[in-house]
Amino acid sequence: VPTQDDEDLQVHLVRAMAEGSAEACEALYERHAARLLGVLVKMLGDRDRAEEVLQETFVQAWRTAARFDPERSRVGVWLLLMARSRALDRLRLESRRPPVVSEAASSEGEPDASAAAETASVDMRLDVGRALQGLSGAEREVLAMAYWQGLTQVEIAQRLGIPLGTAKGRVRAALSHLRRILGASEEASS
Amino acid sequence: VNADGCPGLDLEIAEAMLGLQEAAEAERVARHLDACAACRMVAGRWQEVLMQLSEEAPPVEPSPRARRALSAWLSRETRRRRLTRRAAVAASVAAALAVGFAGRAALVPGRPATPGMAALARLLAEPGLHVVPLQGEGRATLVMRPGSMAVLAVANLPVLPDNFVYQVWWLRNDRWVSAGVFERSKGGVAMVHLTPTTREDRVVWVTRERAPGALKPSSGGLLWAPLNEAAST
Repeated sequence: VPTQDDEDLQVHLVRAMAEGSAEACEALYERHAARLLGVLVKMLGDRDRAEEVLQETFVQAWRTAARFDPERSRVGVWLLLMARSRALDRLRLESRRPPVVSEAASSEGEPDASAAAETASVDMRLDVGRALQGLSGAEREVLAMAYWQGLTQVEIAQRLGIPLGTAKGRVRAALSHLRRILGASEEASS
Repeated sequence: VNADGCPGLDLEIAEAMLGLQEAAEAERVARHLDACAACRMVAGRWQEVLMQLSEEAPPVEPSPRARRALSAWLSRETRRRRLTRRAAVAASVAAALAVGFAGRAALVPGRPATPGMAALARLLAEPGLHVVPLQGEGRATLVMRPGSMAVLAVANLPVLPDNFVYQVWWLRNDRWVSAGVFERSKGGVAMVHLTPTTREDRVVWVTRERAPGALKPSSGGLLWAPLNEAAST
């Protein structure tokens, strides 16, 4: 989890980028690219396409940096949501849903342990891991379909061969459950 | 619904962030977020949850090719921005010079006076204007309304020999018609008020001519642009 100083520095970089600083953009790339590319590879199932979307993400960040509002999100979240949104656009454009690649497959490219250590604390990963383990298999499945494959509720229902109402209920239950577990762990740690 | 009238869209916000909702529902949530500070805080918490979910994917170091592609794009983009900014500065300087330029009688006598700043600002704010960038040596942009007015903003023009002026021409019904004459100001920038174009004008041309101007162009165009598309709209 970035410290406030670190976050301030990143906000400063976004503002410098809005003023036209290529160096600031490259500094943000150094900081976030490995984590974002990991997400994109997992979503798109293909490293080349993931690198294209990563580039599109930073181009979009460059163009919209002036509108970034630190009151509404952290820099890392802002970039992640942008990357994810572009990946979903790509998936919808190509109208195909690649299977979620396994961690082993996605890490065949160059996993970077140091970047991983930089971008997230071990505690946070444990929290997420614990939270996901707390979900039922069915809940984990719909959440993965929504998060990593960008399926809509209608598509989830079709994929699983269940009624739309059931799919919606399952997604909501998964989100509620996840929120409860993560909320509880947040309270316990504070 | 809480005391502020907020229905508390906790899960709807998460669904919107995941892209699960139909466009109309997502739009409703987005509009609500714009107006509701409490839900923006909820959205912030969901953002953190999504961020944590993303930690499931191991980081993948971008290839050198991907890094080079971004650097090359940034390099092109910063160069483009620099040029755009320089052109904007030149245009604003040209506008600032417009009044003084007329005051120094830099335009050939008999030409319509360059408008003052306030008049120019009013002119440029009017709807229906065409803006035509010219190609060639230096930078120039023609702002015009066919049949009504035409102003040429120029910057970075080459220095002329003594006793030479720049002359602007319209190509009208296959004949060159003089639209105005001007001298290069200090710094090479100027705002020049020209005779109005007509719908028959097909090309704008700027040539170098011996003072006080010529009846027809004596040399090739230093700057030019087609007008047919702009004039016919």
